Amino acid sequence: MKIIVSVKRVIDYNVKVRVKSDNSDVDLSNVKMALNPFCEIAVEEAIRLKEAGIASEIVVVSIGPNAVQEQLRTAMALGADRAIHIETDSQPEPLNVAKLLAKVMEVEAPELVILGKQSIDSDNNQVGQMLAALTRRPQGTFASKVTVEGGDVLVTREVDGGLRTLSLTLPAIVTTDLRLNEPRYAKLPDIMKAKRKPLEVKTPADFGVEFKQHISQLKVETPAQRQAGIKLDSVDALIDKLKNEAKVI
Amino acid sequence: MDTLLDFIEKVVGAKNILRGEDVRARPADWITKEPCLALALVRPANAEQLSQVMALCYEADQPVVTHGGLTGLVRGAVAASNELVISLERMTEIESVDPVGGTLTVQAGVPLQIVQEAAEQIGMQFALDLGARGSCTIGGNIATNAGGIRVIRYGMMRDQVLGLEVVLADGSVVSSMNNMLKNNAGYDLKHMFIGSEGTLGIVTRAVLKLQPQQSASQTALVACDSFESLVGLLQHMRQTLGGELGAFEVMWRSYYALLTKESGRHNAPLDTDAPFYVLIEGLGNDQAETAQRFEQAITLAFEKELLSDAVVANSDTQSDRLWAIREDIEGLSELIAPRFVFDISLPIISMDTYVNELEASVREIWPDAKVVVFGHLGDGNLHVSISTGDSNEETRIKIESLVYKPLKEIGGSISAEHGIGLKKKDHLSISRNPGEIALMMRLKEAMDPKGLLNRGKVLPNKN
Amino acid sequence: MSILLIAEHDNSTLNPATLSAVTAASQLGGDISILVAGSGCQSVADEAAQVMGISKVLLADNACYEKGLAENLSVLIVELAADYNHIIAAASSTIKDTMPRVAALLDVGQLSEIVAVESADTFKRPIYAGNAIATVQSLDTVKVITVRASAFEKAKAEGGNANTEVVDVVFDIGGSRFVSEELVKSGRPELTAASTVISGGRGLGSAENFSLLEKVADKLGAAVGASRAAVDAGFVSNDLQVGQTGKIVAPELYIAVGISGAIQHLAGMKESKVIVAINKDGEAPIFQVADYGLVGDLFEVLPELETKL
Ligand SMILES: Cc1cc2nc3c(=O)[nH]c(=O)nc-3n(C[C@H](O)[C@H](O)[C@H](O)COP(=O)(O)OP(=O)(O)OC[C@H]3O[C@@H](n4cnc5c(N)ncnc54)[C@H](O)[C@@H]3O)c2cc1C
Ligand SMILES: Cc1cc2nc3c(=O)[nH]c(=O)nc-3n(C[C@H](O)[C@H](O)[C@H](O)COP(=O)(O)OP(=O)(O)OC[C@H]3O[C@@H](n4cnc5c(N)ncnc54)[C@H](O)[C@@H]3O)c2cc1C
Repeated sequence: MKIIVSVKRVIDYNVKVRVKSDNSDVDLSNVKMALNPFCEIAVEEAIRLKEAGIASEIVVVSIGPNAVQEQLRTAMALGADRAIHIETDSQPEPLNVAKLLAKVMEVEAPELVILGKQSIDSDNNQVGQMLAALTRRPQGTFASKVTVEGGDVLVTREVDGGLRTLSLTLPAIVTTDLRLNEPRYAKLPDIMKAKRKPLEVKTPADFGVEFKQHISQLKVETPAQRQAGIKLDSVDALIDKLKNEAKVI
Repeated sequence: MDTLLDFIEKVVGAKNILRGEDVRARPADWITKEPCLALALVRPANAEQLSQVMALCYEADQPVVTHGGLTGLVRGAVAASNELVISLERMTEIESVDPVGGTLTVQAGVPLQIVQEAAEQIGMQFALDLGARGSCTIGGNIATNAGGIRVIRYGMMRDQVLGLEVVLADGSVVSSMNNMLKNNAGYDLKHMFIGSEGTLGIVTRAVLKLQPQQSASQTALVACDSFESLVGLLQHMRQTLGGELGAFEVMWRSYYALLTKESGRHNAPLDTDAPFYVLIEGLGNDQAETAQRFEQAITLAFEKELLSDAVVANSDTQSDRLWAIREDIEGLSELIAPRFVFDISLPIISMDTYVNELEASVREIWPDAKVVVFGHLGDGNLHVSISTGDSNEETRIKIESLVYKPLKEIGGSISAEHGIGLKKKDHLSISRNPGEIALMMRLKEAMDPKGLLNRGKVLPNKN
Repeated sequence: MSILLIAEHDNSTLNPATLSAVTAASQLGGDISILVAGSGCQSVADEAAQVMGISKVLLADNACYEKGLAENLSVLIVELAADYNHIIAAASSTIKDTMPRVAALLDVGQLSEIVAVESADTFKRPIYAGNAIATVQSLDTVKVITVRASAFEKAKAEGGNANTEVVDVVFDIGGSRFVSEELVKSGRPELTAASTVISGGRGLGSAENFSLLEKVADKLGAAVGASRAAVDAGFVSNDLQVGQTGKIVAPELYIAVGISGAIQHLAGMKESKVIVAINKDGEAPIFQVADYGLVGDLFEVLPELETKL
């Protein structure tokens, strides 16, 4: 079975973002970048399926500027077999990403596509679902457990209030949630080997996809700061504030 | 007695002098969590109040014990029932920030982590760092001349302090708030207080030196097959990374395996069969360059067979997880309680033999004993924990002698960075000669003739 | 202008998050139709008809919609979409699963988890885990929107009187099959998932005294947490520890009782939306991060809270 994993290069989870002074966007100059944590989990899950003898090949795909090759190499150091870099300097919207991935699916014909449920920069939570819709394939989003059984994949999903398990006919699209697994570390010998694994560079045009703008970002601001707290003199005053001012009870 | 406390109350206000249950409800020691027995706990707002409090104590011959964050590991903050605790918990202000000169002026009760964050705010860094960062205070760091995980790059607390303000035993305030990098006008008094563990004066303010921020960091955990390759690796990393080598923290197998596979507290990023593991950190400014240089240095070490396996963190989250193994002192204390803890210095080349012989000699008496070792290798500093299953006095004395005796022969120290406190005072003579100890006692006599400050700690009792 | 709002429900009652979405929808301007898709969900439709601001209820009652499978639900919504300018719903897990499919099938972008409506095509939404707020404008003719429910007041659940129209198109797409479900039992919620957390510290004094806290927790439907000192002292088990070396929580409401507010504790709860501190020491550092502080003896405050809540 062939698995495609799409990965995104994003600001490191631990870095506190700063908004640019002209409010055009957040400032990403010289900040640490990493694999999107959910994508890292997706890569890990694919590798586990390969180690279990279920998957035979893992192809990682990333869309973005040249620098995303760093994350593709990381994914290959972790265990992916080869990589496809679709080069673009723009930051494509989820629908455009999904359209490109749909084309990659046409070419590669994978049985399973695993993606992170959302990227921690734009927090959209859309690409996997859009890809499934465009390719008319079933989807298992927010997965906390993935089991392949014959021609089906069983996906346990994290839903409001609990867990729900679906059975999907392959090929299918799965998006990962945090509890699915704990990603491994890249071992030095594998980092060295990953440098020699195949990495193909393509452009959106190679796939016949033209980006279309659906949403325009007008402004980015720092969220409102926490107001200085107040001291109250009675339980009644506290309950009143919680009910009527903070509206949390 | 009550009259003294009443006078003190007038100085600090009723809610800032705690007595009875409120004192007992506080712990006196990070490890034992025993209750604080002091007759009262006073929390002054500033040096002026503390000065008045100390003047009153001086008159009444009232001994005091200073409390910072209570993370000290040598029982230095333990107070007897006739002692008064001075807690700096209200003195937490960051008074001024000088981004140009690269200094911070703070009150001594401010937690280390707050200072680190304040430095980051202006694009700089405060270079002292240790696992207790969220609790320990600048005053406590100064009093113990704390070391930590960045000594290899930036030195100890002593190297981060430019100036001090101290309240002496009689209540006089000595301000030595120098903020110049260079100042050779007479004795540099601050050094007398740094590392004196609260026996010469109570530190109330400090001018701290900041370092340029190194915003890019890379972390790897590596395994070494032998002590020779471990030492070779240290030299190699120093040579290839130079000033970019930010940490070189070694875990003996005994530590690494215990905290990972054996206890399940952490996932094991590398198999647990190598004798040594090292957490290496590379620091720099440019993300891409730092990553590349670091990876190259590690790769080269691998090719030279200085390390047998390695993982490189590919995000700060992974890096934090690697550090969590090394910093899980909580886990260590839970897993091998009760334990005896040692913080020793010795020449790097003697370490392997020392640890092996220590293990052998301990096992000779207690065949099932656990000897767990980790430390700041680059600084020649090891932390050794020994657990025999009991914690009685007799065992303690035997173990201490097994640990300390060989140190004297190889010229090591019984305290690398934690200090002497109450815990190690009987062994001071192993690491300091009679001339040194005599001078220390003369200094104490001159500064605190009534012996009010941290009485009975660090130095031998006057006879 | 007309708006299609998708109801969130469990086939028997309307989920209150839907009411927040109604408020967001009413700020867009236009008639709001609400789609109740499910199985045996007439009662939900009845409830929806009562909601203030709804002009029409669309009821699609069929076994294929019972479990809210995104494949089926998205095609149903797309089928209805032609009549509307906006398709909107609260960002529940079902909606997060479904809406992007709707957007893709309509070849439009989606605006995820908006927290404010600026105009009919411009919205605010958090990015970078809420560390920045983006103002975004939709350039599509149909706008597909999910709403962060906590950011909008709930519309009145009663007072409306909408007609119900039955939608009897059935889309059973296949490919995806419901297998099983494991819902968290009611009772005290899990610490990291709870919307209210009440934590006790060393000030509680004993394991028995924690029951004072638990009683308040039950009144609030809150999870119980603890400081490390309380764990170390053996008052509660260590899986309740909040902080740097314990659980990280970020509930809507965090109540710290008898906790001094050490940095390591704050590391585990300072992202909470509203923080309340109850401590007898007015100087305790916890008051520096608290939105509401109550200086007092917890042994008096907790029982009083329990009776008055
Ligand atoms: C998890 C953990 C990790 C640690 N890691 C390291 C490490 O890597 N390196 C290292 O060097 N140490 C380490 N330590 C111990 C270290 O000594 C302390 O963390 C710290 O330096 C003490 O600061 P404190 O404010 O907690 O002091 P306290 O424990 O409150 O006091 C320590 C001593 O200093 C005195 N004192 C405190 N404040 C003042 C003051 N203002 N003026 C005069 N005297 C004062 C006290 O009376 C006492 O004798 C660690 C401790 C823990 C718990
Ligand atoms: C490496 C390291 C990691 C740590 N990790 C964590 C962690 O993950 N989580 C954590 O919580 N801590 C952690 N700590 C410990 C932390 O530093 C504090 O010691 C701990 O949080 C204190 O817990 P507390 O506030 O309950 O106790 P205390 O600090 O003793 O505070 C008790 C409070 O209760 C109040 N009080 C007492 N009686 C009453 C009453 N009757 N009515 C009202 N108020 C009363 C007191 O005024 C006081 O403020 C860590 C420490 C270290 C060194």
